[in-house]
Amino acid sequence: MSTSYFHEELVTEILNRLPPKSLFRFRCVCKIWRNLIGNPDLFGPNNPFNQIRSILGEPNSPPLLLVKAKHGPDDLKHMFYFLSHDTLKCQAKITLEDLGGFLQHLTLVASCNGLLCLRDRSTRYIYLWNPATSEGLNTLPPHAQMNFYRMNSSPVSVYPDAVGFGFDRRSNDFKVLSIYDFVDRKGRSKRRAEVFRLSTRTWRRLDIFVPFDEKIYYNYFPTTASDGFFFWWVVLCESANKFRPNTEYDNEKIVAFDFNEEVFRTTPLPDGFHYNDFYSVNFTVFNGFVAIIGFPKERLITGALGYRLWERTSRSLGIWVLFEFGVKDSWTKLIDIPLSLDFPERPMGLWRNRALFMQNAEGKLVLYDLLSHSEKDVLQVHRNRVGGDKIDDGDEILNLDTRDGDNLVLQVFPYVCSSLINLNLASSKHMHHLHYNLNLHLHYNLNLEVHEEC
Amino acid sequence: MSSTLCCSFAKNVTLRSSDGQTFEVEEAAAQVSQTIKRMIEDGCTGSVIPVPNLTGPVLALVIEYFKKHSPPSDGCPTALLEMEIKDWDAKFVAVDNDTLLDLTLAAHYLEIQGLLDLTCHRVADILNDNSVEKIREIFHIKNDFTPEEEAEERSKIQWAFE
Repeated sequence: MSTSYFHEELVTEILNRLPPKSLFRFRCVCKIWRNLIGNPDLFGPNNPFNQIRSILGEPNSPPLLLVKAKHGPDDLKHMFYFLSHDTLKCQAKITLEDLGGFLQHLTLVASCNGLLCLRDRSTRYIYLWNPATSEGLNTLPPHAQMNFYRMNSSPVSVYPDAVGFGFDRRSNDFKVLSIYDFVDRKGRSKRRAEVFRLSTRTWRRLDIFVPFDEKIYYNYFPTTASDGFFFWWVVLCESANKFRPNTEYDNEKIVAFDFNEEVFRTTPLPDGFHYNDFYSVNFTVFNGFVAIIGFPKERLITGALGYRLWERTSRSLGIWVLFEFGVKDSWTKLIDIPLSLDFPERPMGLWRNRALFMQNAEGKLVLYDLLSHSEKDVLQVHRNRVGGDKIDDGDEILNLDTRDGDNLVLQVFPYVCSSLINLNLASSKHMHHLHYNLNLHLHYNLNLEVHEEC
Repeated sequence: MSSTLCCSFAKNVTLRSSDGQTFEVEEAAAQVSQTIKRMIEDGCTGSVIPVPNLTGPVLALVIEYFKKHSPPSDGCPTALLEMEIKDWDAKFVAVDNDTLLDLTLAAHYLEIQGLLDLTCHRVADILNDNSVEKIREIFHIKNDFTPEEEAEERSKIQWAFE
């Protein structure tokens, strides 16, 4: 039977179900298919988000978005806002008031199946927290390495660096990965990795090569998590044995930890990609693919005394997607949009294929609609300020208590657990819980507010 | 056969394929297709509903699908039943490529979302496992690239061929 009457709509229907690798291969089938699939190098300037949609499909939206906010290191309150992903309306707000002063630098590591992993960079503690229950932060026990040395009655220092969090589908278990340095009896620093399983509440050392450089701390490099994997942007010195001060990082990779197999996997970055080439960069997962959202620096110039400087001539927003893990050539630039110079610099994630969460120059969280892209090739943005201004249909979406925008530290995460809302509906509108842990000097107050319509 | 107790007298409609074969099917079952549902609502029930885009054998298959996917008379599909239907679906599309493509076209024309998802998935699975040359054969597509053009196209997306 002839299929010449398979029209484009139906072919698209089928092609949309193919993984990117096959999709791009089938550009060679015929010219109609090539045009349907589009160009893998540079997507047309008119409406780039349409192309993203056709290649990647609509992202599976989580029911909730979690926004964590804190006003600088001196503020005692960590605020967790749970927004509906569709309407961006605030459904619930939990305030964690740090009364003991031991949670000053609490940050979110990842959100997975309703459970949050948090860490404090100064006290080095790692916490798990289920915000849908009235229970507080669950402190993870010390690493196995600590116990080993304790038994041998020798002092030891363990410095946790990179932390990852994920869910192992095979054993139905939450796991935390910690990469740490410890100083052995001879004073040598070693880099190790341990995995914590929630079911047994124990740490176990991994006897595998840890692809993180001992000379660099990865605390502040971009990370992201997706379906049993946790990703880091990793910078390595050329030689791990030789410390070369003031050299540029020359070996950058993405390292993923697979929580099912408990192994590290690495993938190269696109050619000539360096962390330092970006004004700001965020790492995200878009429909299961790792993606980079960033503002690249434009031009390298050599100054009078031989200093090399980045000159800001213009700025563009780029989104690169990795279609096949481990394959450098499968990095595809999906979007390259020129922006005005006063565009804020911190991309925080994509919202529904068409908008970007950003922290603007004033420190506020804003949502930039990328669809209203003007014909002049300069992005026109709606300044939909999340702190009070109106969005499309006139709904106020989120009222952050922004006293001091400059120091506001924001994190945005998907939150996949609808029980939060159900549970809150059943309970009273306001709840207070005081938590006190003598051993850890943790002393904090959890205050939960539930908003009317859910 | 499922028993129809109270109000519902199993009303039937007649469908006619492009080659003139006619099939009788329960109205509720035929309404799995949005296209037919609209026709019934527009008052085509009395007469025969023409389905000019489908040949007899394909229409016969589609009617099998209708019967399996018509809403159950007691109104509560159980998990077991769902699993059984899933199993049945998988077997239903395990056919030769031409039949599969005909079913895809039929699902599209008759607006049967479930069948369209099912067949498109199956087609995508088949495509995924095959070479570009084989795809052209399956879809009866003429290669309209010159050899140079095709070589250039391939070099651009080398990684996808590795």
